[in-house]
Amino acid sequence: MNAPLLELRHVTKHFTRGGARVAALESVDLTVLRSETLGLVGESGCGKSTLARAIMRLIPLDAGEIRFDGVDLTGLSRQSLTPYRARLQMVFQDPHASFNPRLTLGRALEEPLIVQRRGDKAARRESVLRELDRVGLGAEFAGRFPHELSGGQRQRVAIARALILRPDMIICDEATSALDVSVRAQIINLLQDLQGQLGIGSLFISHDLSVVKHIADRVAVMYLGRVVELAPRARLWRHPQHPYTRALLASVPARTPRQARERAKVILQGDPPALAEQPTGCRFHPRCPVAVARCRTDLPRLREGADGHSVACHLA
Amino acid sequence: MSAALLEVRGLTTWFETRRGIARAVNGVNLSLAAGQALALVGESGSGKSVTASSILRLVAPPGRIVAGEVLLEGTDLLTLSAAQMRAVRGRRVAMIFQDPSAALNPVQTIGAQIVEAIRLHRDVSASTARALALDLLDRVQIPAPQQRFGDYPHRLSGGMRQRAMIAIAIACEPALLIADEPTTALDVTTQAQILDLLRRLQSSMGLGILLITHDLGVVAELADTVAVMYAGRIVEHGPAMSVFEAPRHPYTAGLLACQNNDDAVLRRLMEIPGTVPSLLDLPTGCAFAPRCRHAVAACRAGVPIMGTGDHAAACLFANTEHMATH
Repeated sequence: MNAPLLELRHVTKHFTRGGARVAALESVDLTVLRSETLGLVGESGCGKSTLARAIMRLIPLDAGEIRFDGVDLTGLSRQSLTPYRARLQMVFQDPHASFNPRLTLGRALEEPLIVQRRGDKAARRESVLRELDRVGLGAEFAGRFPHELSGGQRQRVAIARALILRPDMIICDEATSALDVSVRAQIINLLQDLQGQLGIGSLFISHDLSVVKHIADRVAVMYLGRVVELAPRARLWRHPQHPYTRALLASVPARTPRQARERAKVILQGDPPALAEQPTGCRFHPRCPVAVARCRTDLPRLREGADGHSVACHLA
Repeated sequence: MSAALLEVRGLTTWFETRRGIARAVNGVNLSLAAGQALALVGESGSGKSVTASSILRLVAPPGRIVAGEVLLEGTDLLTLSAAQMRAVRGRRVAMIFQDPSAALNPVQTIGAQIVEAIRLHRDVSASTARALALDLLDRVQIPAPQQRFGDYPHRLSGGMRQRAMIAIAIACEPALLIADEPTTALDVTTQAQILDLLRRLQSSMGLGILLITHDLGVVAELADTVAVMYAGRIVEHGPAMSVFEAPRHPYTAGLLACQNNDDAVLRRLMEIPGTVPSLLDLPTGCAFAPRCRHAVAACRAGVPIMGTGDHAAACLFANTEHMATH
């Protein structure tokens, strides 16, 4: 059951910005197991969405391997990639932008089946209605257009579209971030239920730590294109090792006013540096409260410790 | 209790559209004491942002303030002339928004924009205004103010832009700052910095803050008192501590439960079924009744009246044991 489904090895992606080479992803190694949820957190610009796009082969890599079920996707032609695209699906933050406004939702849901040449018209229609039902929407939604739906309903349809091909894995890129609080809980529960029922693995990318804390089995923390810490969920929250992870967790607002008053305020100073101005050594050292001389020159590697807890820090 | 800085009574703002009247703000009462922070909490479409723009009289047509009073330091803003209102905006009450890049002028330096805000309301020389602006940049903890003064907004990070917005907002030492989702677009570490800054300004300047947000975490960090808004009405208000620890309206209780997911065993979030109703088509009676687990026939008969006291809710069961037994 726990064989790796997705394995990233030394995934590296550079962009050119204003003549300068910028490392958006720097030798990222990550594994998602079958029917596991790997949370990926980090602030804007850390590379988490670039990673999602790289896995989906929406952007080419500069180096590294993306192995899905043992096969390196980076070497595949468009044509040989097609079956893998069906097995690896994505849910985006803004379902408004990811649906064609002129197609009915029934047609939008049918599209992946047509592309993948699955079933005849009647069979496809049946699949569409089944998936709508699975995400809690009635058959009448097949005839509606995206603008007629609320944000939560649209995200349900986006989930149905991701699931209609029965993928082995879904990538959720900020899939619940645009939703209202009361609706967000519905969508998170739905995702969890469906993943459980269908045995789907997922990479759950979010800047919202409380959502990741809820949904993920393991969590990877990214900073400026690198994974700086990786640990089982409970362990990460109980024993964060990297100073960045500690600062990130401490920045999450308190749950209650009492907690806010009682908690010591650890506020990380400064902003993440622009990608074009990456510091030498540990990328985090200019903001790190405990940095020593070595941190300015030597880049710490992600080292695996006990209990599946890896950290990239000289002092951990 | 200190004297009220802001007292909103029966504020009602409608949008007359082709499809009918959207009652975005439906008889809202709010009270904020000087130097305190009041959080107006609600989801999208609850009317919280329209309430903020109504207080500043910045509602754009087809929106229209239909009724109510907005007393700022005892003066009803709704009775002022347009010129008098312009003198109040920026001087006594200022506002910051979710997206500072949309609110800042992209072709003017940060320094020039702060100087403009100062000289709009205060009769000072250009050099004095410049000195004041540098001091403001320092107060909002923008590093190297001399250099940042001449920077254009696009040169600054999101967090720095929000600091610059705050500098402009506090330039004339207003008594009230309206902060509409001030940290929603920011990363969590930057959010913590901005909340810390707002707290500091609140105590150092005696600034009253009306915080408009959907994020209960931000409320927990900053608010002294809370008002919860749903479908155009305030459904609960009270001291922050008391609202979080003993919510009286099922909607507030549901919102808190949605966000507090400590249940490691069940690994399942509490949810509120359904969605926020359309303001064009509000249910009769309590607007939350269709989503409420506790609703009975009486809830659909009439809009529940807000209870009395410091902590109160507009719910038939707010003062009974009914909710606790479910």
